[in-house]
Amino acid sequence: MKLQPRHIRYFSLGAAVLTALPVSAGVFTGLHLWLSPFILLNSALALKTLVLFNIFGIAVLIAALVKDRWFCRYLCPTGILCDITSKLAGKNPARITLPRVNKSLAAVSLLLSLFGIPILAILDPVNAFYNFLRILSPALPAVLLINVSGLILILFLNVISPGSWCGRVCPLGGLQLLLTSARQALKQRKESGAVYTPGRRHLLTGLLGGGVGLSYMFFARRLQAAPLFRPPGSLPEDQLKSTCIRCGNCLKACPTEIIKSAFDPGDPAGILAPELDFSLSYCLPECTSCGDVCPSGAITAFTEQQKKQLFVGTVEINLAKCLLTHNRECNQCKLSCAYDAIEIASSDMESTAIPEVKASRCVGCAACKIVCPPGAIEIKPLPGNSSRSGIS
Amino acid sequence: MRRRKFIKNVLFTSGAGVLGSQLGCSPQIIQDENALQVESTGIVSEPARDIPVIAETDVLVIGGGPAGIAAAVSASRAGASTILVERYNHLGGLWTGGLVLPLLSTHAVDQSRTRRKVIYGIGDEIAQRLKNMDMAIHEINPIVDPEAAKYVLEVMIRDSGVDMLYHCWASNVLVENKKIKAVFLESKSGRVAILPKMVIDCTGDGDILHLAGENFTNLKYHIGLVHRLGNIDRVDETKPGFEKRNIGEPTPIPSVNWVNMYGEEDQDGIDLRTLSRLQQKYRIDIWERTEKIKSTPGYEQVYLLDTASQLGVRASRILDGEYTLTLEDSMTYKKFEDCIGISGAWTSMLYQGKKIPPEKRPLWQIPYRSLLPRKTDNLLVAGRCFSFEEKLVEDTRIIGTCLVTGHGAGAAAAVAAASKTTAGNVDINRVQALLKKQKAWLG
Repeated sequence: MKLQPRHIRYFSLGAAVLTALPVSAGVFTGLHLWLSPFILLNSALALKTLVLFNIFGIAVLIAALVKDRWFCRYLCPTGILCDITSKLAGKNPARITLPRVNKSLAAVSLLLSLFGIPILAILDPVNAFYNFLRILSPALPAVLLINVSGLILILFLNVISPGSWCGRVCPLGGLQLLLTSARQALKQRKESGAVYTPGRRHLLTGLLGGGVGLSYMFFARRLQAAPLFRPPGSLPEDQLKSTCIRCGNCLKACPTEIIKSAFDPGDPAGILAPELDFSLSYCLPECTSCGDVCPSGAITAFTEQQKKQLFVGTVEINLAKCLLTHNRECNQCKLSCAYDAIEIASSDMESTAIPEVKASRCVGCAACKIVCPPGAIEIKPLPGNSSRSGIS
Repeated sequence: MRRRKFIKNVLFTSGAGVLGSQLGCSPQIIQDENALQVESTGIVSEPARDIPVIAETDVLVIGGGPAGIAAAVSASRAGASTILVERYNHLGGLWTGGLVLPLLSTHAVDQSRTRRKVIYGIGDEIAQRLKNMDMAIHEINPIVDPEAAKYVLEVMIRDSGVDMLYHCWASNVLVENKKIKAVFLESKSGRVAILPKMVIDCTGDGDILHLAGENFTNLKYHIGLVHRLGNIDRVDETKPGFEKRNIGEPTPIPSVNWVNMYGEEDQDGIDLRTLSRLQQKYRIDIWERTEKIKSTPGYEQVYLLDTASQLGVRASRILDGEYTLTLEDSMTYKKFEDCIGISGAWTSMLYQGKKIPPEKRPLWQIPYRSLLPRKTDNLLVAGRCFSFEEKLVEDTRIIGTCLVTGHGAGAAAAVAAASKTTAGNVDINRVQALLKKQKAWLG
């Protein structure tokens, strides 16, 4: 039997399902997302940096440059599902014909990224696929409805208008078409010197995309949300919200399951972006997972050493509750602190020792808050901007 | 007669400066690398002397704290001739003389998730006697009366036939062919020597393992001084101007509270100057603190009953033994073939990112190898200086665990002495059988 593109596609679908499962696979958690050249280009243009795993996206990018729609043919898990639903919708003629916006969408997205707001990267089809599989999460918060709706919408689109997502809308497809066009234009220019001119349709989508970007900047960002805890290494608040593609990789990779999807209707720009929940556990000092697995760069990859300078919150100790002020024996906060940020200092109060926090060392990992037997420790989000990095 | 007397005397040299040249081969006094830690203005050599041997014994237990008592009673009841050496005037160590009254870690959760009693054997026998005398309060982690405990321990030591030596301090050992041949004691009768078959280091500070040349880490921790307040029942809360003051926790005697002190952190428990400075500071602090309490309306009748006769050194030397017990072991129901006892938990611990409160913490087995030094053939270590990783210190340094390790070491020493073998080669099945006979619980 000859190996055909569809065989590789099914293999890819299997791999995508495996890596999209809501379990941690260490640094390989959500590996499939790194293959998408659309996510790669958006975040690379927005952040002007690359990380090691971007090598997958670059490889696919080169393949797509050489061979038309290489990603769609071989790797796209959403594409397979689209084909199946299109077939199911079958002989019904397309009731609606959607405008062909894919190339424009891709171009606008990249342009917005260049200006630091890669918000359209969220439309990536692999991302939609990933988000859908979060339905298998052990905990099912209501916000998961938004996560799963992407793929459902795409498939619905294929039912009412078979083939239209892949052929007309998908920005990842559009990106690859742009690459093909670029290749052809280059070739033609060599031969005839003709210049590629954008049509009216591109202008319209461009205006629409620009409008989305501008309104995002002027409205969504303006809303002042309550400060939250963000994962260590998170981009500054505004950038985080626009760069994060809400793929859920960090949630899956987090060994203590403290990363949650934020949901504050008062902060539409930040909906489903990662936030930390310190109610049951804390941020392990030796863990770098969320940074390792973030394909969009919203959480900058960091080392264990750098983590000592990645501040996520500040500690407040309620001394009235602290066991030491009741002459009880305890140094759990100090023992639990991997950053040497807590000292049990002598005091002139009636007790002979009280815990003291060295703010310059405390990153706000919340280990002390979790272990404190009487619950005397609170973690407060950093004021204003809710993530602060000491890495220059 | 002369010859016999000569054999009974052991040459002892303590001049640190001349050791190397005089004693190149065994028998030898191990070079004391840490002896000069204390600030010195010079060195003086002490001449060699002959030291009288006052006894030969199967088992020599150094230190009469919870570990030492359990060890001595276990060994003596098993038929070994046993000597117990104590530097103060009481048994019980920090539990009684240190006024650290709670017998912690009596309970933990078993694999069927039920919280149950885990400390049995000699430790439990002591606890039950105190309970029967109404000198212990609380079922879990009971708080005892120190004088009642001293009495109970004294009776148990007497009745089990232990040869008790008070008011003396083990100051050196003579190691010959990897064996401690003699232990030297400083006493009012001068320096004397005991020739033991087996030695159990229950000094808390690991004095003997250190003198024998074993490796250890010196864990610097909080050092405090506990005191007790009297007339607690006469506190008048209705008095105008009354405000709540910190007067500690109840004890079995209704009018008496014990007041714990956490004290300064990162203190060196084997440093002469540190101990002296803290002793002085705390004594003054406690008096002045009590005066402040007495000047509060309603507290006029309260008085300082006593300060502990022992400074509360929580940790110091920790043995680097054949096995180092880990926090992970204590959290995962780790099973040991050579288990000599089980202890429990009294405080919350972080484990794998989660807080495990004491009422959910697993019971944990203690392997014989964690009491076993690497170099010396006839030495065992029990009490807060046995071999564990620092993260486990909250559970290893407390009275309950000391009672358990002491019992295990005592039984093992008795079996080793009787079978004329080394601590490392002792038949662990026989040790476990003896422990079970002495009502210890091994899971």
